[in-house]
Order: sequence, then structure tokens, then C-alpha cells
Amino acid sequence: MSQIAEKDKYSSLNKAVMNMLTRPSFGWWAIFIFDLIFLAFGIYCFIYQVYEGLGVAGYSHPVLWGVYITDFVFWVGIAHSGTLISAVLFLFRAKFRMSIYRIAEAMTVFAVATAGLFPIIHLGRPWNFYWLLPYPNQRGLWVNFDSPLLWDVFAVSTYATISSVFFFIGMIPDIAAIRDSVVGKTKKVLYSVLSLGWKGSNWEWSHYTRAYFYFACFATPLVISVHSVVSWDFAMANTPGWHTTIFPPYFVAGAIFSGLAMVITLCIPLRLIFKLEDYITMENFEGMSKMIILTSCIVFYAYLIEFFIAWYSGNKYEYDQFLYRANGDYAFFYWTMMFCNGIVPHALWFKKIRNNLVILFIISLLINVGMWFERFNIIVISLSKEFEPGSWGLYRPSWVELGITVGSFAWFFMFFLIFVRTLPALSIAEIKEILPVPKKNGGSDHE
Amino acid sequence: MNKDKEKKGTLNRRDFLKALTAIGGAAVVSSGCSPEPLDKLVSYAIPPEDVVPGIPNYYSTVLPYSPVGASVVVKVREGRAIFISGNKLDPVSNGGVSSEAQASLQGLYDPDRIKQPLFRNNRGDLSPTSWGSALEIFSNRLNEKESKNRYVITDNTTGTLDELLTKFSDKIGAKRIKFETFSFEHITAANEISFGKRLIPTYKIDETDYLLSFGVDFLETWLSPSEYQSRFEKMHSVKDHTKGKFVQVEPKLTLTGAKADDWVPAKPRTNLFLALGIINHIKINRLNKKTVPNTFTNLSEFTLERTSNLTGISIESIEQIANDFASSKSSLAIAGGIASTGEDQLKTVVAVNILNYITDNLDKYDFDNHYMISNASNYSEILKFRKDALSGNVGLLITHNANPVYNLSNSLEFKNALEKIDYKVSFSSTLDETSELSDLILPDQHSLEQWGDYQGKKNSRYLMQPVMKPLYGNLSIGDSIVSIYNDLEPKNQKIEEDSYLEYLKNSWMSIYSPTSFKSFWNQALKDGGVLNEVPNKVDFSFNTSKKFTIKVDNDLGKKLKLCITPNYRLYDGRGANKTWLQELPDLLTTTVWDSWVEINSKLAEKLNIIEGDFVDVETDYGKVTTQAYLSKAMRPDTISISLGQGHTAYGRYAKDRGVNPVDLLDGESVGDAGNLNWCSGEVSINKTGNWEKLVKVQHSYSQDNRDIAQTIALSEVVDHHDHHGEHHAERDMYREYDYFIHKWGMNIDLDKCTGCGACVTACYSENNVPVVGKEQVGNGRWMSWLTLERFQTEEEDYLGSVRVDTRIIPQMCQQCENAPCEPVCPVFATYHNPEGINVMVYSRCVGTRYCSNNCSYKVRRFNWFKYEMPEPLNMQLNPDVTVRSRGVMEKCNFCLHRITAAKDVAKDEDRKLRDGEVVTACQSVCGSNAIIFGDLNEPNSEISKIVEHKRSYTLLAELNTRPSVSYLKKIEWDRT
Repeated sequence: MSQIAEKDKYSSLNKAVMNMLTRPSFGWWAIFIFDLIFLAFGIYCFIYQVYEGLGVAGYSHPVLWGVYITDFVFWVGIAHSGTLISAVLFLFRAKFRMSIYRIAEAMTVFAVATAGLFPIIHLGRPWNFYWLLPYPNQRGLWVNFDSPLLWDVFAVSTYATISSVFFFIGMIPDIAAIRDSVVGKTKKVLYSVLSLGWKGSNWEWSHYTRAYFYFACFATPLVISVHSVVSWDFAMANTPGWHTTIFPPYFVAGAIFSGLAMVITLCIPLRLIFKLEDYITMENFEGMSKMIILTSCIVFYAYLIEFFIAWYSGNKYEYDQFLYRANGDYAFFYWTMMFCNGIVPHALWFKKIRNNLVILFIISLLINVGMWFERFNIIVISLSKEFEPGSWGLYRPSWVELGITVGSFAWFFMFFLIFVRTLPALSIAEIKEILPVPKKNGGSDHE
Repeated sequence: MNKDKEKKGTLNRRDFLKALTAIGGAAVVSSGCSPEPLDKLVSYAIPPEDVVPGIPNYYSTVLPYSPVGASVVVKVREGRAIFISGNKLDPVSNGGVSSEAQASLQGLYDPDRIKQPLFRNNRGDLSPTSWGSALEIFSNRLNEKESKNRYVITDNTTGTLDELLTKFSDKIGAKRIKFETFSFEHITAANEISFGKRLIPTYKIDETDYLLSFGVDFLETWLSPSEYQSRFEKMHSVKDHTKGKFVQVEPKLTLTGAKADDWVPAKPRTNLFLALGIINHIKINRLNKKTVPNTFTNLSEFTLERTSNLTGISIESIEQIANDFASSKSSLAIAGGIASTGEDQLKTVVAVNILNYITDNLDKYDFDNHYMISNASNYSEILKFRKDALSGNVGLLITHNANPVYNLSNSLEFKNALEKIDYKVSFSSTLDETSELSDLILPDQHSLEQWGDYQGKKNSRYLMQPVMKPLYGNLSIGDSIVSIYNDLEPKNQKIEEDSYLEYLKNSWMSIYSPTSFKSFWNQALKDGGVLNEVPNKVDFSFNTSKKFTIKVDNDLGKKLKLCITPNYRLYDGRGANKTWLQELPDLLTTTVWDSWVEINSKLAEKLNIIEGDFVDVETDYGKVTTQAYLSKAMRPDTISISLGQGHTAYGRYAKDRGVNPVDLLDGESVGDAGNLNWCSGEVSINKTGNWEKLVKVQHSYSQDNRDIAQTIALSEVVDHHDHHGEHHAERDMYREYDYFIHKWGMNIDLDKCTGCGACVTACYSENNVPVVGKEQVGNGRWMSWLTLERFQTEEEDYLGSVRVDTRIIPQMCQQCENAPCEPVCPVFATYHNPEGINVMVYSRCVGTRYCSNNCSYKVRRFNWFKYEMPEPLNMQLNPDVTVRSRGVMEKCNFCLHRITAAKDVAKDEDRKLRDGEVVTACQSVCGSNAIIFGDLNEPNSEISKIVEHKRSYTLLAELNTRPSVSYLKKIEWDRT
């Protein structure tokens, strides 16, 4: 299966990583520019929205949250699995994480950077977004700590900070390795600065591993907290379909679920393009697939239990809401979600399917779609049919919202494209931990 | 008489008026300050005495709208009229004021008003000219020798202006036509037959306990809706353990029908048969108190079975109605609604007169206080004029407040007729369909800018005074005529007065001849006129000489019939240029800004029509294409279109919007009173295949078992075993708020509320609520703070027929104590103020819209765009209320600024606020007195007492939001 012998993997790892950082090919540029066009369209849509007013989005009373908040929750969810893979699995010493965790972490940071835009994009007066921060001011104005939206501000910004720091710390030894072999003065200086003078001494390593461990411990609760807090945006409200205690675990599981799917979506083409079959192995995909099965079961259980509780509680509003989800105006979205998130992942019980990367890729895409619809369903369907029958109404996204959504994907992929060309996408140091060390007589360029 | 005359010395009348025009208006007395926007802020050197910045002035005046006019009080701030409320002293309206009257502010500030006289130049365009030359052109034209006929077509003018116009018409040798789209001529004609009086009496429905209405929409457009709203409230409220019962007979549910205790959907144009059937039943069973006159020779043919066959109403229903009617202590039947006007409307009214006569209920006919609309010209006169014009025999036409080109059917070719007239002069202040054909336009001042009077009913003469300086330098029609009158041939007839104001004063002097004219005049200005309803003397006899034999058309009921209904908001179309009225949702369908055809849902199913389908509605006389609205509450053999849209001119808001159904009528076929048949013959509907979402405000009409609009059985209300409203000792995890001084609360009586929508318009007017237009309403961005939600269910009637239960509930911010909106705002832009109001801090709002998502009542509105009003519409904006920028949330705040203003007054006078001193905008215009506002902290206040009532409830109480707004359940008759 492998193209190079097991013993050579160790020695060629550095080269493989360095290969990704060479001068970009025409193909890369083509993709990058293609991506920037979409990003430019997204930015245009946002400027248009700021200029004309939020009315250019498809909002319709009483549905006052729509695609933007869906996008926000979606991206925060995506951001989840990075820290899960890097921190939680690190603590559990799950070996299958080693070769993919850098990609997952990068994804986390970029996804948070994308998610963080949406609460601002969706504001009626986005230029006043900083009013949500508790900063001292002459007017004596303060923020409302009762509001889940404010908790969001803290949760997401904390998560962004920690995940960036964790991402960066993990990269230091690898950047140093790149620094050592990179050619060109600018690059040399740049990587030297980024490597913070890393020399690879024993003393450094002992401090480094300990620090990394502490950061992992510190980041782990955030995996739970961020999405719990995001779910409180809904669970704390009294809207039927939102107001439920199951939301935090349900959202966390969903986030991990969607994040893992996104990691697979990113890894499969990356592995193909950069010929990383030796390092991103089927074992990695196996591990992620199994976790997807687990989280899919949790999510599916949550879907079913919501219905059960809606019936069992005897709460009319809740009951009507869930009936409406399943056979109302948005039933198509609901059943798409059910199919993508509840049914499709169970194909992964079969090893043949797990090992077929084409099918796995398609499944991961379907899960991404399903999870986007899940958030859309929760937000839009609940709002369109609440307590007061006279106010019911439907929402339909406008081209501006879809444009900004597409733009957000372009924004995310822009970072990712830059990342794979400038920073080590595989963790050299950690992969080496699990590779067999070459024998002296085998000859190597490792020294 | 004319004390001032000599002082003017050599200045002749014409020059004087020109001079007045030049300085900006002829009749400025009351208000001192300019309404125009100022470029620079320069303080007054000598401030006008009666204008204190920040303190409004109030002026009583009248809006001279047919049929009866509206006596109103206008709030003026710094020289600008900004709000219209009812005149509580007016015995006709009792303080109620319709949306239409309130929206006259938008007529005043209409951006499409004509700013100066226009005349048709050589190229055939209308070009502006000065008042001096316009009046000269006019008087020269009038002084020309005329071989052809001359006509003056106005609306049903009354009072002094009517007198002046008659004098003027006589002098120029013109024939006068008082053209009213709805002239109620069938009632006047019928009363002439029955009582020998060509008059429309006041129907004292408040004195009845059983009201039977044959298609009369008295709560919407019929005669005097504000008056009947208040009379109906008296009749329909609970007293002595019972309440009046109201039965409405009509093929299509109207708002009036929605208030009925029994709604009887009879086939269209069968009211006469039903009336005869009831009379016959009463006669056969000897329930009559007076001998049944032999007016209808074949009365005995109308047995219950036959009547039931003809009308489509079950025998039991007819029997029950007849028995109830005859056995009630004081019952009254009324007929003559526009929507049911057909060939035999006159006979219907005669039959109803007989019905009232034989049950001895004619004491409720008040001819002493009859309506002046009785004087309107018969429709046949317009037809005569048209014939005259088409044959080229009309040399001059003068129009004022009349738009026959729009209001008459295209089949009459009225436009063609007008074009054949040599010279047309219009006093219209907007370019409507008629005035745009004119050769000379002398734009009248708005009624809020001029002097005048108006007589809606015989004994109520309202005084019209300018409440502000005229916006443009235009002359009122009175002044125009007064100024040229003496220049006209024959010169020996003269008017002594220099201005219309003097003319008016002299006219009032001669009518009332008071001892001190000055104090009389000032009192009249203060009161809004001389407001008397003289006690009714029943001194009329019943005339039985006229004989009718009723022939029944065999085809009746087999073909689809079209009923054209007058529109409460737009009346006959004159309201269509006002954005408040266009955006006020139609009361039962909640559509806005457009026309629709109402089709029974079962019929639509048969024809495969869904809501929003464009359908061709076609008669032999015309075709219109409009969207379908499906309704349960109408007969399957009837379709209906509302009047008011389909203008081809009349300003930017009215033009090219909807369809004008009058074009479907045969203008030449008249009924037995010479009336136009609004409920016409056959009509066909065909799907065009096009579909568009019908723009409505409310999408779900079902309450979905959520008990939003609740009812209570009458027996339970009058039950003496007093159990107050449900009060549980509630435990709450939240801390109680401390309301140290006030805690404001509102109560709305759903039994009194008729759903007329006046409160909605008042809220727009008071709180600067933006109008967003059809497209944005379609997108769900309607901004109204106050919504009249309406719920409809079909129920089996106790008599076996289908009954449509319609409930209307006004909803605004409920000002919850445990408000779900408050804790979720991240920036404290909405918070609980110490007086129990959820206040919005617009400037702090960043627009997360979380508050609205969390609002259980969905009463918050978001500014999706910046909504701007074209000049000078923005002059109406209330300076006490912030104009919201885009991106912020807004909602009802109990008219916080009014509370503040009242508190300031109380503080200045060093006293506590009195109960009822704070009046919210919606409350101030409610003609049914359905809204109570006050301090819940004050144990003796009206509101504190009313929330203890057993009918009182709060919306979605199980959510424990504890609203400060409570409702009184609608009372329903017990159904066994």
C-alpha cells in the first residue's frame, strides 16, 4: 500500500512536509484565485447589506434570525473537533490523532475566525458591535450579563484565543525544522521569528511537553463549554423548540460530529494532492469514522428524544412545533437533516465503506450539509411557528445571505489554502513519535 | 355687519385677496407659527403668544367628508397639525374618529398636492399660473356668453358652502349636481313612500335590544360609522343581566357582520324576500302590533318554505328571526347597505319600514336629526348630465370634491363625455382622474387650512377653522368664489362680504342670531360647532297607499353574483392616496395596498383557484384581473371586490394600484330608486394561470386552540355567584418588581372592540411609525406597533347552518412584568422602567433582534431599512417621539411621552395624577371606548377595578410573563 518502505517514512517526513511549502503550483493559484472571487462576492454582499440595511436579507417577521446565525453555529461547530482532536485525544493518548491534528487545529482556528464574523454581520447596526464588549466608558454604559448573547461573546473569544495559542505552540518545533531547511532570506527570517528561537534542546523539550500538556488540559473544558454556551442562545429563550435542557450536550455532540466530518472533507483531498498517504493513513480515517458513528448516534438520539419530550411533556406549543418540523413548510429541510445526520453515518459501520475514501468523502459532505440544516431547522422552524398564531410567518433566505454564506466558505478556505503552503500541515515532531526510528545502518538525513 | 370693511379703504376685493395670497394665505388666525421647515435656527424676537415650544395647541374643527363629516380635535405642535382625535363633545361621533379622518393629515401633507393654480396652455399641458391670473381667467370664462349648458358637480356640500355654491350656480346659470358615490337614494326614496319624508333618519339602534340588519355595514361605511359604533356599543353591552342581540343578513361577511351575534348568509339580492317572509310569518302568527299594510300585494306568497328557498336560509332560522324580532321588547330592522343595493333596494327599505311599523318600532326613526346626505343628487341626474355632455351640449363644468371619472363605470364613457365639454374647471387640490382633464384648476385649501362649516346631520352644524397656516398660497373654494362673485354678470347680484370668513360669520349670525356673536362664535370654535341633537318627536304617519307586486326572477341564485363593497379604509377611493390607509390591513382579509377578489373557499376549490391566483372577473360591461382571496365567510354563489383601488391618477400612492370594480357594472341600469346597482348581475371568474403571493399581514387565521381571543357565555357573565377571574397565588423564582409610584396597565374590551382599526392609524400618527409599502409588507416587515389580529373558525350553528366565528383582538406590546425580551438584550437596550413599562432605548440598540425572537407575543418591529417620508409628509411627525433609524428594534411603549407630559402638568399644578388623565393615542380615538388605560398601583382606578372583572384575562398566562395588558373576554350568547 505504502509507496515508500516503512523504514524510510521517518526520514522522508521532513521532506514531505517541506514539499508542501514549495513555490505554489499553477493549480494552487487557480484554486486560490477562484476562492478569492467568491470571497470578493461575499464581501460585496456584506457591503451592500450595510449600505442598504438588513432588509436585503430575507428576514420576515417573526423569523428574525436566519442564515447568519445558522452559519455562526455551523462554523462554531466546525471549530470544535480541532480542539477535540488535538487536546482531548492528546490527553487520551489516542495515536490516530497525530497526523491529522494539525489540520484539525488549523481548521479550528479558521472556523472560529469565520464564525466570529457572523454575529457582527447579522447585527442591525454592525458598526456598533463593540457595544457588546464590557469596556469602561464615560457614558456609564454596561453590558447585560444576563444575556446569553454576551456569554457568547466571551465563550467564542476565549475559545478563539486558546485555540490559536494552542495551535501556535504545537507548531513551534516544526517551524524550527522548516527554518532549518528553508531557502531564501525572507523565509528564513520569518520562520526564525515564528520558531521563537527553538533549538530542540532537551531542556526545551521537557518544558515544551509539559506546557503542551497543560494547554491541552486547559483547552479540554472549552470543547464542552463553547458549544454549550452557544446552545444557551437558544435554550435560554422561551421559544418552543429552543427552550430545552438537552441542548448543551446535543449541541456539543453535533459540533464534534460536524467537525470530524469537516476534517475528513479536508484531509482526503489534501492527502491526495500532496501524496501524504504514508502519514495520513487509513488508521486515521478509521478512528474518525468511528467517532462519527458515536456522535451521530448521540445526535440522532437527541432528535428522537426531542419528539418524545414534546409529546410526553404535554406542552402544546412544544408538541405543535415538532409536528410542524416534521410535516410543515420546512419538512424538506427537516428530513434532509434526518437523512444526512441520522441515517447516512450508519453506513460507516461497514469497514469496506470506511476504507473507501470516495464514499467516505461523500458521506462527510452529506454530514456537513445535514449539520447546516440542523441549525437552520432549529433556528428558523422554531421561530416561524411560536406561541401566537396570528404572527406566524415564513422565512426565505435572500441572495445576499447566501452570498455571504458562500463568502464565508471562501474566507475559511482562503486561510486554509495559505496555511497548507506556509505552515507545517503535518506535525513532524509528533508523527515521528509514532514512526519507527530508522536504524543507524539504514542511513538517514535525520541528523 | 361689516365693521372691518371701511378700514380697507381703497383696496378692492381682488387686490386684497392677491395680497393675502402673496403673504401666504387668506385665513390665518389661530396658529402663529410657520409649518415650513426652517433652514436656520433663529429664536423668535417676539414669540407668538399662543405658541409655546413643546406644548401642543388643540383646535376643534370638522373634516367635511361625506356622508356625515367628522368632528375632530387637531393637535398642533409648533404650527404643524400632527394628530387628530375625536371631539368628545360631538353627540354624533361621541369622540370616535375613523382611520380615514385621522389620515386626512396625510391629505394635508400630501406630496402630490397642487401647489398653485394650473391652466391648460396652448400645447395642451397643465401649466402653473398665479392666483390673480387664474381667477381672472375663471371670471372671464364665466362672463362669456354661453349657448350650452353649464354644470357644477360637487360632493354633497352642506352648510354655508352649499348655500354659496347654490348662489354661485344660479348666478352663472349652472345646474348643480351633488354627486355622491354612495348617495343612499334608495333610503330617501323609500322613506318618501313610507312616511312622505325624503329624508334619511337617524336610526337609534342604541335603544333596541334586537337589531336586524339587512346587509347594512353600519360599522364601516354606512351613513355614520362613528356614530353607529358608539350606538352599537350601548346596545350591545351587558345591562340588566342581558344584552342586545344583533343579527346580520348578508352574503359576504363584513366587519359589521363579524360583530353580529348571528350572521345569516342569505343569497345576494334576496333581502326583500327575507323581509317579506318575516312580515308574512309575523302576520300569519298574529305577532304584529299594528295591522300589516297591504303595500306588497302578493305578500302571502312569501311563506317560510318559499322564502327559505329563495334566500337559502333554513326555515328554522327565518322562523326564529321573525319570532325574536316580533317578541323583543324593542327591536329594529335596518336596510339599505351599499353592498346589497340591487334593483329592488327601494322595496327592501319599504318592506323593512313596514316590518318596523307592524312591530311598533318606528320610534327609533329619528327624522328630526336626519342626515344631510339625504340631499345628495340621485344617480339618474348624473346619467342625464352624461347624456348632455356626450351630445356636446355642455359648455362649462365646474367640479369640486367629486371624481365621477373614477367613481363611475367605464361603460358610461364618462371620460369621453368630459372631453366633449368645452371648458372644465376644478377646485380639486390633487390631480385625480377628473381634475386632470380640467382646463383650469383652482386648488382648494385643505379643510385643516380653511374656514367653513359642515352639517352632517340636521341639527349639528360643525365649524371648520384653520388649524395651521396653509402650506401653499392657495385659496379656499369659498374665498375663490367670494372674490370673483361680484365681477360676474349679472352685476346687480352682489355679495357684501370681502372674504369667505365674513360670509360664514354672517351666515351663522343669521342662523343662530345670538345675543353676543363674539362669545357665541368663540364658544362654537371651542366646541367644534353648534352640536345639538334635538329630542326626537315621533310625529310622522305611516303611508300605506303605494302598492307593489313582487315578481321573483326564476334565475335567481343560479348564476354567480358580484357584490361590490365600499371600503372602510378608502371609502369610494378617496382614501387611496394616503399611505396610512393603504397600509392599514383590510379589516377581515388583512390585505394591504391592493385589490383582491373574495371567493368562497369551496367554490375556489371547484374552480381550482388558490389564494394569490390572478383571476379574470368578467361581466358584460368590463373585465378586471386581480388576485383571489379565499374566504369561508361568504356564500359560494357570490364573489366580492372592494372599492377604492384602481386609480389611474390621484397621486403616487394611489396610481396604478389594484383594480376598480365599478367598471364591471352596467352604469346605465338602475334600480327601483334610480340607484346604481352595486350588487350586480352575473359575473364569471376565470383563472389566468398567473400566481403571486397575496400580500397580507396575517397568514394563519386559526387560533390553533391557543385561546388568544377568548369568549365567555352571557349566562356566565350575568351569573351572580361571583367568582373573580382566575387568580392563583403564584410562586415565582423571580423577584417582584417594586413599583413605587405608578404601574401602568391597559385593558381592552373584546366585546366592545369592533376591529375598526382607528387605533392602528392613531398609533402610526402618534408614534411616527413608518409606512413600508406593499413589497415590504409582503416580506413581513409591516411596522405597526398595534396589530388587529383576527381569527376565524367555522362552526356548526345551533340552527344547523355553518357559522363563521370571527374574533378580533388588538395586540400590542403586553408590557410584561417578567418580560422575556428584557434579559436577553446584551446591551440593555430594552429594560423595565420603574413604572412597569418595557422601554426601548433606540440609540443603544445594536439590532441583535434577540428580544423579538424571545417575545411570546411577537409585537416587536425591526427597522430593516431607513424609511423616509417624502416632503412634506414628514411635517406630520410627532416631535415628542424619536424617528427610529435603521437597524433598531421598536414597539409600543404605552405612549410614554404622553405619560411624561401628563406627569409634568400634574407636577406643575402640584397634585397627583388623576385617574384617566393619561390617554394613549389608541385610546383617544376609540369610538367604542374599548380601551382603558391607567395606574394599576392606584386601587381605585378604573383599570385596577377592571382587571378584577371575571371577564378579564391576559394572553398566554401560562407562560408567566405577567402582562400589564389585559383583555375582557368577548361575550357570546349561550348556545344550546
